[in-house]
Amino acid sequence: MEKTLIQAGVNRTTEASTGPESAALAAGGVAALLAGACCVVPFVLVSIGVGGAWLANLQLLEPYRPLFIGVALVALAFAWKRIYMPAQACEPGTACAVPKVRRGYKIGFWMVAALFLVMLTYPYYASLLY
Amino acid sequence: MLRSSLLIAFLALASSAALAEVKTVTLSVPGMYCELCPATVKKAISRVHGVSKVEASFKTKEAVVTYDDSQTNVDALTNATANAGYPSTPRQ
Repeated sequence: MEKTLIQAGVNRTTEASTGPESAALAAGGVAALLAGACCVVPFVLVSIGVGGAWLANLQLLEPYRPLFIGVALVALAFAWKRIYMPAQACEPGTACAVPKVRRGYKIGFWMVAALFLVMLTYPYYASLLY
Repeated sequence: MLRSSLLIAFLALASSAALAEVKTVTLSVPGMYCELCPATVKKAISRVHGVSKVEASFKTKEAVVTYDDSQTNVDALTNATANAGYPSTPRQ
């Protein structure tokens, strides 16, 4: 449930319009969160005062970390390709042709990419936090 | 009679003062399997009122906690780590 709360913040930027870009960004965001679920997520939740013994269950996701990292990478790569190097020109009148939507996609992409980096690299900055 | 009651009063005061002392306990936290886990454990313990110092180690899977005996106890500390997802037990 808490995961969906955090996810809502990511979705809000991407659900403005629906398209493969939004789906890829949402998938990338979820996968990135799952990749860090074991460690970063409990740390953030405890830091903001949300706790519970259920947090121990998140450790079950740790063995699947490489899988989630892979899924997030694929989703981000797909989103990157769609957003920054579209194969076909935008049809006038479709969502991808609207400048505001395109900017939303770019912001969404970099937010998900940043989230992914935070989740991916925690073993390296962890020692700075304690 | 007066002297002995004074003595008793003094002893009672002294012992209650001795009860409220700063203690240190070493908690064994076997669930700290990742690099960030000790940071979470440290955060969780330091939120307990009366805790003055926490050192959590990834290598030894231990947390050394310094706390005020009159404000908190070991049970509250182990509860705090369990609530962060890391059950712990005091090490003797």
